[in-house]
Amino acid sequence: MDIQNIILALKLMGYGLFGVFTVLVLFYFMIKLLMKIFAEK
Amino acid sequence: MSELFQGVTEFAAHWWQYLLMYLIGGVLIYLAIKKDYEPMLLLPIGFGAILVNLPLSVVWEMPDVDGGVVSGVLKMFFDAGIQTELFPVLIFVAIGAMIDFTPLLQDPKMIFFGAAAQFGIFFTILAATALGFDLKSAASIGIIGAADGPTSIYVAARFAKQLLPAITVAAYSYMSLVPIIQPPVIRALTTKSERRIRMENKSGSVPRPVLILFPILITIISGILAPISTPLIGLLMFGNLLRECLVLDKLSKAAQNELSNLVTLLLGITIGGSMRYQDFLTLNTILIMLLGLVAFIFDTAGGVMFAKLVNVLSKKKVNPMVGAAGISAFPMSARIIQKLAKEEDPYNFILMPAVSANVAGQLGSVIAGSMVLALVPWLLS
Repeated sequence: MDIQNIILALKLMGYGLFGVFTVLVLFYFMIKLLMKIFAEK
Repeated sequence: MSELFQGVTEFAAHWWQYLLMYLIGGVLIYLAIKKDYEPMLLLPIGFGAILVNLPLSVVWEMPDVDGGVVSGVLKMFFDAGIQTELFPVLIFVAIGAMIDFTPLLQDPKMIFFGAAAQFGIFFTILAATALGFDLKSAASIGIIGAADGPTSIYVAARFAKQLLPAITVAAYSYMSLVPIIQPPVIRALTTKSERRIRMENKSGSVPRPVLILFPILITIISGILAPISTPLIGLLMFGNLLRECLVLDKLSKAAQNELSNLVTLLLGITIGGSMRYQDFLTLNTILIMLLGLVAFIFDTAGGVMFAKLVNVLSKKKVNPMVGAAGISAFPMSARIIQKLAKEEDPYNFILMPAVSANVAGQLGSVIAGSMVLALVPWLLS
């Protein structure tokens, strides 16, 4: 078991999940904005 | 004279390895035909596995007249379609043309379930490193949890080509086994009353400019944030734009049918063709199959636990089962969730929120794949 590799995997988990959530948060606000701009009257 | 019987001699020398590979190929063909488990892929993979394990593997490599070695037909496909990442990227155009993002656009908060259900990917990467795999191999194995075959192939082709056959077989096998894997995990993590929670079904049309701008803006944002994701997200969204623009109906249908069918056929037999017994019959293959299962279980668990967390923080309750639909196996996962909800309460209809989470999962899995592609080289530098 290579501790160095496990530490890298833990970092990947932290950064990776944070990155996925961050990008999807941006997409969420983008969708909200688009729906507001093009709302059908 | 001995050259005439080279095949027999070779078979006699490694008979059990050959027979075992024919058995594995046969099981894949059986699952495809008899059980209807991802037949478009498992059948070509199974037959390709048999083809490449005929003595001397001439579909992979064969001697030329000068005594050298030239690529066989399946190796040519492999070099042209997998080494270059062309096949998975073309599949993305087809998938993009098939996805309808409307349910997600109607209920955008469901996008977060597409992120939570990627937990299994990162947990499995951690588990794989604990089992001794290096970070690039572990990342390729973890991506099985994306429940998204082309993303798995794309990442493995870049980081761990030697593990590609086992990773692909694991990814597609478990995707077809989602109806068996998810229900026990969901039942173990939820109570009967939680499974009975009813949810509002969002409906209403989505303005056409939104449907058209969505794939364009997603491509631009992803391309700026993670340029390495451009081939994945860009071609997925290109396929979606073909669908939503409504002026390229022929191209959209060609992407959904002809392109998808042709590339899937070539992809399947090429992956099968890379399953030579020398590379496939290893301890790593068994570990990859086990880790793939871990990835699917923890994806499901991640989605369910996230939904439970939302219920703690929010007044508006979410049926935690919907969280499990945040994986990329579309629309299978959403249908399973609806079936489980109906088992508990025949009048509970949560198909629409489950479909929204499922569509978000398709987006989330590609983003997770892109994150892994971007972060692994950075962490190793």
